[in-house]
Amino acid sequence: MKAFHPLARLAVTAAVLVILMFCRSVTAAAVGLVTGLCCIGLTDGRKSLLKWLGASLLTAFAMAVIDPLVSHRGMTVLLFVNGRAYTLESMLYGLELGLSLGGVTVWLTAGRRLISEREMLCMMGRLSPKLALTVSMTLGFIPRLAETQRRIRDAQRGAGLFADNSPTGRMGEAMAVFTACAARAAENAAGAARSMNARGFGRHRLTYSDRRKLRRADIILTAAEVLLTAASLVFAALGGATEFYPALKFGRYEPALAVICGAAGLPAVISLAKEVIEWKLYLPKG
Amino acid sequence: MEAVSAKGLSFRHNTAKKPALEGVRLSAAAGELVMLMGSSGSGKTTLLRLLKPEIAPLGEVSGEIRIFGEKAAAPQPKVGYVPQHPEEGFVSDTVRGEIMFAPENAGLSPEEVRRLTAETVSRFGLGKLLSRKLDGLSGGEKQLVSLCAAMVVQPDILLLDEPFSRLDPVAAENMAALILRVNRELGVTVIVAEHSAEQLFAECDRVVFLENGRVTADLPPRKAAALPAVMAYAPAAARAFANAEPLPLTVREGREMLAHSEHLVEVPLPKSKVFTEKVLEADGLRFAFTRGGEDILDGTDIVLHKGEFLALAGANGSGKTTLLRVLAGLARPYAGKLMIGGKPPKKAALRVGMLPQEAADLFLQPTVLEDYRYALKAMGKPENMAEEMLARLGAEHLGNMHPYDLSGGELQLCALGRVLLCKPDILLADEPTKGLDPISASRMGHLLKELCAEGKAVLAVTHDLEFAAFHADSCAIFCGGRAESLMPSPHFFARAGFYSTAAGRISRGMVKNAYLTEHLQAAFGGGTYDR
Repeated sequence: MKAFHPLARLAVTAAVLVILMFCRSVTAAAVGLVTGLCCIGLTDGRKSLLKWLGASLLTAFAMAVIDPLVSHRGMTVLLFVNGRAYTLESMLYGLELGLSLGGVTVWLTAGRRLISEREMLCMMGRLSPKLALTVSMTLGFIPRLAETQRRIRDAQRGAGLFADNSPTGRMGEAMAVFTACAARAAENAAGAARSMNARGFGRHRLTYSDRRKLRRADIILTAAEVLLTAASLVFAALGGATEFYPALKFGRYEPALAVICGAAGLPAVISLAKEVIEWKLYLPKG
Repeated sequence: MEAVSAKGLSFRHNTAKKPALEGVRLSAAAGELVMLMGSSGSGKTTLLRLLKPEIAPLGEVSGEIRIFGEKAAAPQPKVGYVPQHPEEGFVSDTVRGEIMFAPENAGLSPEEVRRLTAETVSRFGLGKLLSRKLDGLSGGEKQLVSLCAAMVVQPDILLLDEPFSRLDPVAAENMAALILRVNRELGVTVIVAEHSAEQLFAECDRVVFLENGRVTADLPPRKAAALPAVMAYAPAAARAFANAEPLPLTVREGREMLAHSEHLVEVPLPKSKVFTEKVLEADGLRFAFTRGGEDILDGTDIVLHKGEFLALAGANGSGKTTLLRVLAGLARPYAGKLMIGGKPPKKAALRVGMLPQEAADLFLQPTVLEDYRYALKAMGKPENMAEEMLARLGAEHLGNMHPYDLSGGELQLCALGRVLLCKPDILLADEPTKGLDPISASRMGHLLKELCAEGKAVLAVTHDLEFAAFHADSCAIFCGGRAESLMPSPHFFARAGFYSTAAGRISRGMVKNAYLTEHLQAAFGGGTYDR
């Protein structure tokens, strides 16, 4: 998938996420979950695939069981809990919610495998170099702050302070360490400002140089994903979504939505599968 | 042609009463390598920052600074600056972002930015680090990135503030070689402020020595090293053969001098102290940051006795600090046994104190005295101990100062006092001489020895082998997650092969048991020495 521009990869991920979140179709949710799991299996291996499959099914099952306890709509009453109806429709609605939630989580994870932090910054830098710099500085600042916080806490404990593990003792420690961290962050900010000045910050328009050209294949894939997303929203609006109440009824364009959802995620699956096959069959042999 | 010239340069910080620099005269011809030396707080950093107008400190300036004949004014892209602490200067989150920062801010086209980056990365061998996060780099790698981030816009003058202070001997040698390449092969004028003389002293064109903000010597290295004021800062070879003519500056020159002179072939090994009472015993400690991850401590055994000063040497990133954290109870080993005074840490009657590597981490209050009082109050101890501790350290004059305004030596001294407030029986010191000038490092060593004489035990991790050899009773080298070769330091250093002091390397194969400059002096002059 790395052969494609990060924008095209972002388009694939975003298209599936939009379909899963806004189309509310049980079949599309299932298809989206399956393609997402395929991506994770192809990037992270079988162990990770099984882990995510188990977690997604567990989420779907839990939602299917819990939803009828809070929503009592639907015609097919399975049983009564505390005098309230526990319906099949509500259960299926919960299942669809669970599948969508699982699919979204899986695709967010797959998205992180498909597009790196740097590539996201790179795309952001194209739109706004200053915003990309701010994000990059923040990403650098957070681990440094966490490390400073750990160091200061260790230094205090190593010098005999905050040995008391009571809630008030810990609160006192947290406040003292936080204050010291804030002072250190201000000191470090002065250092960073000096470093930025020393390297010419603010004297010229900022260039964002970490760019990659969009090729024809990237443009085609991005355009296709945009079209598929638009089509899915249109179909959903025209009656593609599954209706659960009063009785389960598949939407008129539900098969089309499932196909669109599959088609949106398929380029990632095909591309990743091709890479796996190439690695397995050809590359090790030179 | 003069690349840098400063005449009658004086500077006083906005809040200070005394000037930081007074009538400084400094010049560096194009392509020269100039070394700025002097004690902590002598004005080296202030002088360097004044030479880069964009980051000049705030205060009263008088005198004149010229860069390539023109009056220095911001912006000054011809001048690159590498700060003392690379982390403080990092702006981005990745190596790539950090290297690209300067060219991206220079108004260049994306193609030009990428070309400059590619050139720098290839020239300085940064390729493998390019996509790494900055917070995951070792000290040496961070220093390298900091240097490259300054070099990427191809400056004509490079200012370096203590580039070796945080590096182990091997990383420091690599960094020194790189700086020399920049100077010799690229023709860049280099001005480097540094305490450690072992790396560049012999190679530089001139040594400029600062004392209390004044230039007291500006001479070629061989002449500078002969001056009494500079001698303490000079390389081991110069100190060992202080009266020789010509004065040797490197290990190689020292060996040649020794080889062509009459000398003793052996000096008596200093007596090893005998310690009996164990206060800390670690047996097979194992520690990893994640389950199944690499063992940072791989079955570490260590024994520390009452009154003993044990130095643990080793490379950056070898796990020395992690060992101290485990011994101080700040990190938990997943296997192994730790006994403090014969009891498990939670039941131990003996107290363990730790002097951290970043001394500033200890201070939570705006002045040293207030901080001491705060700590004493938090520990339920009488607050008047604060003044007593400052008096004991001879640091009464520092009580009302902000910890961040102290020089490296002063800060380390006050940090030691802060840890001693908890009256530790065992003191764990993490790189206690890091960034200190030789005089401050020696003072720190004597203070730690005094604590041992009082019956406390000290375990110091350090990559300063001279410090370990001179002050420690016992020594070990930490490698592969274990403390290897733990033995009395005279035996440790007398047996050391490659990983030894400069004096030990000079005497190798010629004078048995000589690992201190004092030993070499005794062997060379036939005199005696006294530890």
